[in-house]
Amino acid sequence: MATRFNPSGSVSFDLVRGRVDCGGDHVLISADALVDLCKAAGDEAVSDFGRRIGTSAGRRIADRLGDSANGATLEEVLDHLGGELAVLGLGSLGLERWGRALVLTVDGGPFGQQLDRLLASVLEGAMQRAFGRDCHAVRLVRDDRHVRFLIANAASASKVTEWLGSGLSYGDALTRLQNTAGVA
Amino acid sequence: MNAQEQITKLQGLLERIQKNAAGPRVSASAAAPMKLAAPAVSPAPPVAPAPAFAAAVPVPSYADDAVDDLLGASPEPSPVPVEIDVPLDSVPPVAEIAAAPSFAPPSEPFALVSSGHIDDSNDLDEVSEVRVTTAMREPAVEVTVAAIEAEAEPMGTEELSDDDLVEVTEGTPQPTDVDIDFEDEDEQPPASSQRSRVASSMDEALAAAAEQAEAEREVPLKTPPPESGPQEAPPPTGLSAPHAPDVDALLGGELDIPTRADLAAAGPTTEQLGQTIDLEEARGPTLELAEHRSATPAPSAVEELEVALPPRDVALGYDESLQPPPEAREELDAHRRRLEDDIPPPPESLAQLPSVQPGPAPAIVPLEAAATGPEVIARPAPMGSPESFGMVRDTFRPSSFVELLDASLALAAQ
Repeated sequence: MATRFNPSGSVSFDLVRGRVDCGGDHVLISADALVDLCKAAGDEAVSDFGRRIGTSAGRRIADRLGDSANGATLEEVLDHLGGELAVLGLGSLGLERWGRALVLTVDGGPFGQQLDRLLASVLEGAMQRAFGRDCHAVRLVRDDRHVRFLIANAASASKVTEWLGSGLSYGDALTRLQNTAGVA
Repeated sequence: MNAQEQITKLQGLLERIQKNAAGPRVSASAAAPMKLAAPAVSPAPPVAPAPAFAAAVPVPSYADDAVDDLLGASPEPSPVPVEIDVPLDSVPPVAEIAAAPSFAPPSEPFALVSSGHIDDSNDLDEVSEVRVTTAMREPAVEVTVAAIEAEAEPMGTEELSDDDLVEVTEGTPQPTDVDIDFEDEDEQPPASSQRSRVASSMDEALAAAAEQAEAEREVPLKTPPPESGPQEAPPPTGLSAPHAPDVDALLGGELDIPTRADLAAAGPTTEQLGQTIDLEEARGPTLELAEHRSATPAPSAVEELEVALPPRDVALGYDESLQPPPEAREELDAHRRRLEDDIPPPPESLAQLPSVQPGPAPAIVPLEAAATGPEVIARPAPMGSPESFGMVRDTFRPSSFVELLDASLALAAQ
């Protein structure tokens, strides 16, 4: 059985040397400054930036879970992945299962309704590094504090994005996605 | 020769000294090339200070004239020679030599300024400017320093200092003789003087003493200022002053201090009663206070702005044409379908699990959710097709996250 997420020692502040260590040197910056920077950088750069953050978190998850990563339950993965995102200050992670579809939710993120692309990239990077699966996170819906991401492959992600763009609700999109399941 | 004559002579002499103040400069500037050229020939010692330099300058021939001859000359100052101040750089050395006939022309080109051989602290200022005299000066009028010193010797150097000489030559106006007849003025004390005049006789002295005693006896009338505030009244003096308490008598006998009970028993004194008028008792019916009755609020009348809702039994209903808001239409439709078809509950929504273990002294601020327990996220309202979800849920139960992840990734949209 995998161990529970323990944040003790996850972040260490060396005030003498002026360093912040969170599995490597980190820098504490304000969310507003990061939003401005990401807006100026463009979507591609933001995606790369988020994937890199998620990869670091996924590596730490994989280190903790070890060989039991493939057999970890939903609760265990949610515990570790949510803990990593919480340490990074990216919000509170939730998990939903819509039939066969995996939906991850982030509540209370620091960027508000902005930089959902960054959060999606973080999730993608973490999944890829922790479980070795290439996946895409598609934003289904969001409100002031809550955002939902569908974890799917590239083709499904693109199709769902198209459906959502055509005005289909995210529930209908998930239903349509379930109806076509099994073909692949 | 009396003192007045000496002063007159000295004044004339000093006037000429003042007028010929530029004289030593001519000599110095004319002699400078010679002195400055000297180091070029032989390494002579550095230039001497100014006084020594003045003494070392070769005195012209007219310097040998007797002072008496000089003093005997016309008191009128000699016509002032025209002097042109020429900057050192603009004067050719030849013109300088030609304008100074008393000096032999040097055999070598002039080196008026030779900073390499001149000590800056000595005569550098003297050679920075050369004055060329275009007219010959009257030899008898020229006065040298030696002549001045020779003239000044009879007077004594201590008696006639440089400051004194300057004061005389600057034309300080002579103090005019003002005859002041002090005898015409009576010796009177100034107005501010308090000195009293001495009495001339005994009677006058007695009268003055009497007046003074009378003046001292009169006390100036002083009234307090109108708004001086409360002032402490002066203690009464004379017959109205209270007697001092006899301390011995008080200490010797027992003090009889009346208590309140004694005072109450004694009742008011006659002085306190005075002219007391006894009031008669009130006549008339006895008034009693009734019990307080709680005022029941009167039924308030219906205000004009209030509109009573129609009762339920009234055969009125809501308008059939009313439509729900557009944002709630989808949810309402889904709700109706769910009621009609009696579908199973919506898809599972895993609540957040506690992501923090209670660890010893965490380095970061613990999460609020970890302290209070898991934060339950409300299950999302289903908005998709309920049949498909129900069918999937019956057949798919992932045992691990990777299984669900693979299933989600396996969903292929067409």
